[in-house]
Amino acid sequence: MVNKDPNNGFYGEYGGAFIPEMLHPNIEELKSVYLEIINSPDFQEEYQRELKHYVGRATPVYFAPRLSAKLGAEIYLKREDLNHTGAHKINNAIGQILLAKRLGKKRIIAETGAGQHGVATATVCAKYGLECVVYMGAIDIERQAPNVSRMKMLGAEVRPAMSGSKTLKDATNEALRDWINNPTTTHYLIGSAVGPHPYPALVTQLQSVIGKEAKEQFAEQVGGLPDAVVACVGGGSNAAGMFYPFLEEDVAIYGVEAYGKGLETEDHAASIQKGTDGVLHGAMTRIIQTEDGQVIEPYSISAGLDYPGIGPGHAHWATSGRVGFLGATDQEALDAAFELARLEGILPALESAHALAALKHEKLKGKKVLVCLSGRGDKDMETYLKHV
Amino acid sequence: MHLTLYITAGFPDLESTQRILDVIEDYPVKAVELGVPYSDPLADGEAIQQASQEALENGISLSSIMGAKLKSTKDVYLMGYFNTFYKYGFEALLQGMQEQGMKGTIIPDLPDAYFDAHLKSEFERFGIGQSFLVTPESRDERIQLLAQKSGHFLYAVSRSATTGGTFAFNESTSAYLDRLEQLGVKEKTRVGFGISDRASAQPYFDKGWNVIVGSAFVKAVKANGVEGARKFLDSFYA
Repeated sequence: MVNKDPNNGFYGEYGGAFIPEMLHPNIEELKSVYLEIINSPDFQEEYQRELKHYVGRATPVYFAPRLSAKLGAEIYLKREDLNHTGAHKINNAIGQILLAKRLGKKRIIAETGAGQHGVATATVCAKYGLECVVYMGAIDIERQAPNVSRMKMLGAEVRPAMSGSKTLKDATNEALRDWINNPTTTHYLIGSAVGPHPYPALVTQLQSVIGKEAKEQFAEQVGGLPDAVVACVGGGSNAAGMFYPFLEEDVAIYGVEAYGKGLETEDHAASIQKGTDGVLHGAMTRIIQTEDGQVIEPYSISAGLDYPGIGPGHAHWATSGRVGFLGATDQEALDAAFELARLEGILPALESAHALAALKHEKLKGKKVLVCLSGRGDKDMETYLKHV
Repeated sequence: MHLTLYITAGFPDLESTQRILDVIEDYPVKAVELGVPYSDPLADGEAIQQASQEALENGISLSSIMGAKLKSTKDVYLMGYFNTFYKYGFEALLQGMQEQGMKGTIIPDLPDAYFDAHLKSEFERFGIGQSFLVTPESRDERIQLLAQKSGHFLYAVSRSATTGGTFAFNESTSAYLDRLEQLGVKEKTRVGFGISDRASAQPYFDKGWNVIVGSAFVKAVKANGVEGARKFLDSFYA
């Protein structure tokens, strides 16, 4: 039996809220009210309105003729790159800030890896006039400078995470520490389908607009259901949102992880395929860790996939066999990005390029494949130009 | 009124940890919490984070801590994050703890519901207790529930915060302690976070509370090794 939604906070064996007591009141509060709030007509009306008029939804489902011809499959791209701020992250940011306002919070904190979630958070904080602090690994601040500038221009304070390995997992730790120290004033706006319950479920619900729209659009434009649905997976928010309405349909679903320099090396971020069970950032999930439970710094050329854990929903869907996990190396992702650019005139984010790279897979030959193009590639131009 | 001390096991190395335990023998310290270093200690401030990191770089693990068979006549507890205990395996760990005479665990991110469902009977079988944490924001019923579920003691943190801060004992601290007393949990409780020396512990002692000192002791060790530990204790018990 596959859980689409968590049961008592757990997706099968995965999930839960492994948090210190200091966060208990906040998590309890969120857990007891989030469903009621996000399902209320008042919330939905405001949320859908902002998604339409501010974010620019609905995003198109685009049939890619030249890419399809080359790959020997029918490829349909769900264009999350066309959202305001350039990625799917904003769907969650808008939803959570509306939730935070209803909870009376005045201050928003967030973690960010590549900076897209940081930018989305800074964006909605500016729009709603809330104080915004974004934690970012000191190393990521260096390699994603344009996003840092955007956040600052939007009025956010960007604080470097100097602890641990100075990347996304450390930014998450610092955000959690901030929340522990400021429980009453602050809402922690988590950027992916990770963290203690109810966060994975909340983020999945907010991102499910992707899959729900895509399902309707596909039925309208093509008829029926796709044969397969594909998305890249870091923490897993665009994938969870994309997969959600298809989990109970007769559709093959594939998540694509970052193989980095190759699965046979130590430089990858394939939490499902090379990780083991453990608790990270409040959830029981699959983690890249040592034998004695120390979290290992993962590697991927794309900062957004460079996370040693994964959403507990994905851990469950993977182990139950509902979702198949594939992967792409740095080079394969780069090649796929250039391929999309040259064949369809679209510059994808490095993260999304991993999903594109997996489209060559045997299993997808001759199939109708719906792929989530989670973001655009402007932030990655420096990396792309090095690889021309 | 007594003192429980937290030390990061393996900081700067396991040999020093044994020597620090030997120093502690000379003082009326009630108990020692051996901190198990972890790569992502989200409830800890800088002092314990750095001590953990250094210990990890020197190759510490829960295995090496258990393997060291550290000696102390004080009550010894293992304090750390769920993931390292989970990977080690609770059954093997509890067995080892029982063999070494350790009294209990303090795992701040272990949810009480998970403990009840998966661990409680094993802990009971080996006679080991788990200490749960409460904060000033915890509700009355929850405090009583966690006190009941806790083994040898209930860990009350003085403030909702990460470790290593300095919190002056003020009216709200006093009110919190009074509430804990009214709930009938005073005897079972030890108060920690923000207590760094005899002066900051004194208001707690005056009201009849047992205390825990963590980051301040770790800082003393960081500054002066085993000698630092001795100086801290001389000053505390002066």
